[in-house]
Amino acid sequence: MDQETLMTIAGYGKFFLLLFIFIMFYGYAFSIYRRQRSGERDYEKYSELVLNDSLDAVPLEKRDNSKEK
Amino acid sequence: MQSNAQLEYDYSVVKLFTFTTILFGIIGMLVGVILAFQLAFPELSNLAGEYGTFSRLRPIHTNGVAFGFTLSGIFATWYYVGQRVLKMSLKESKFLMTVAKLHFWLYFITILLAVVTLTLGITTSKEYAELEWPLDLLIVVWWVLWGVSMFGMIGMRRERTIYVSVWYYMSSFLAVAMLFLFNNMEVPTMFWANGAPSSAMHSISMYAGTNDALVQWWYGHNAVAFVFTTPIIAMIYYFLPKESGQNVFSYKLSVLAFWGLMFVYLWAGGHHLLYSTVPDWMQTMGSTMSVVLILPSWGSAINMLLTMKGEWGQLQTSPLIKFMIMASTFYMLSTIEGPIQAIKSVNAIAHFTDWIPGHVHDGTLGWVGFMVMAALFHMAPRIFKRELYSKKLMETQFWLQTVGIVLYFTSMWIAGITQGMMWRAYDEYGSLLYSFIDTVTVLHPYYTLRGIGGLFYLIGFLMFAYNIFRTATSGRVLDKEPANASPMAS
Repeated sequence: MDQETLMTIAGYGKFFLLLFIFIMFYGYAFSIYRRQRSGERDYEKYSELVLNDSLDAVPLEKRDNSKEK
Repeated sequence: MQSNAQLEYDYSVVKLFTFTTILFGIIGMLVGVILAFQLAFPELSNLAGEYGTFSRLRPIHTNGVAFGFTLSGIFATWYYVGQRVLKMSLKESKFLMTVAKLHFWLYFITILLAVVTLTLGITTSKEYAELEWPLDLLIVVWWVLWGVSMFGMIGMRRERTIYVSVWYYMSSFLAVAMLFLFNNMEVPTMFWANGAPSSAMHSISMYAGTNDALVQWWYGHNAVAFVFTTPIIAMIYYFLPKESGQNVFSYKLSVLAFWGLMFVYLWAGGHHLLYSTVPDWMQTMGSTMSVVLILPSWGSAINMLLTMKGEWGQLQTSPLIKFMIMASTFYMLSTIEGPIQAIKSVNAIAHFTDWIPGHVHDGTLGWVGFMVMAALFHMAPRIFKRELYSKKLMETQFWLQTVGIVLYFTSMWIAGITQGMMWRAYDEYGSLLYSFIDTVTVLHPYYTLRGIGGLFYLIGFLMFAYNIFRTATSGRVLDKEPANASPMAS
């Protein structure tokens, strides 16, 4: 394969990689806002992890350790 | 897992790292001030023979503040924030406690050895990666230990959701591991010297020429990303909401800014090599990604400022909030300044001038330094169970250091742009108008001002060290842990 073909493949490769990451990123952003709006998940409550961080505080979402291997 | 009824968080490792943050802060900043005055008054380079020369001291300054002061601050806050937001105590696991202590002692020994070897002139000569191969191996050991303790603590957590600060700490761990391994690929010469005399400490890089430069600045710039940025964002996302008692303005924005930063930062290092012998497309990519970097950086910074919405009165009453808000502001300043410098046409003036150290220092002194000190101020009443020793001293320190930073970066802006313009100036025949020494003469007052700015910052840091020392030894004992605002004696 000559260098020009190689550069062309690399150029297209980079373009589609960026496009893919662009779509992934904005798709993720959209899904976060959609889930918050529909009430499926409240992201904003996670601020409480800081304000309510003493060891005897009730966990915001308890992790069920017994289910883990 | 034990019941957490009688359990409490364990701060023994936090205290150890707090001590080294202050110790290496004093060493690194003192050497920095000496260097600044050496540039203004070169005769100061001859005071201690070869050991006092600029070239010998410079890596002690950079390694001291980056890998001594900042890393200690990162580790101290990790062991504090990590336990608290994951709701687990190091007391619950003997193994993790041993790992954390081993992490500290190996780290401490490495940084002490770094000071000794660099003073003796043992260096790889790669910027920010000067330590020679035996020390590099030691670093790998305690970096892995940090990872074991980090993922061990995460594995033992009671909270299902991992708070965004922990994401930032994790990114720091993973990225630095990758960057460090690749950039420090080196061959100890004594094994391959074929009988020729070679120092046991000497090594050469596995890369050469342009490849070496590319790997070096991919490492160098991302050391800024994952030592001076992500772990400091981790700190502000915990300490600002906690100290002010406010919810983070937008948790969603914090998550999006995280992924934005992760993707963009790793591509920006090419801006260190503009107008050099690396492929043109790489320079353009470095430039472009640096400009895009404004978005996630300002996403975090604005999120922090808006966290104070409706509570700006705290800025007047609490010096601790002042430190953090000023840190966030300096973060915004340096993350707009960096992309501007990375634009090719601006870089044509800025490259190799004093504007670059000016930019670095409004980030490191204003953002990193202020945030690390604020974190230590917030932790002190909780880890020593005592009231902060003096609010007045904190206020004085804040203003002294702020003036110091302003003197530092304004003098370097003027010096840098003057320098850049003078180097490029030519007459109608195309001959250069100035020789190098002309620029040095013009820059002398700005170098002196920079030294004075640095001295202000160092004095402020000594005030900070004294305040923490007095808090630990003679602050009023607290009967219970403060929930939000840190108690401080007037």
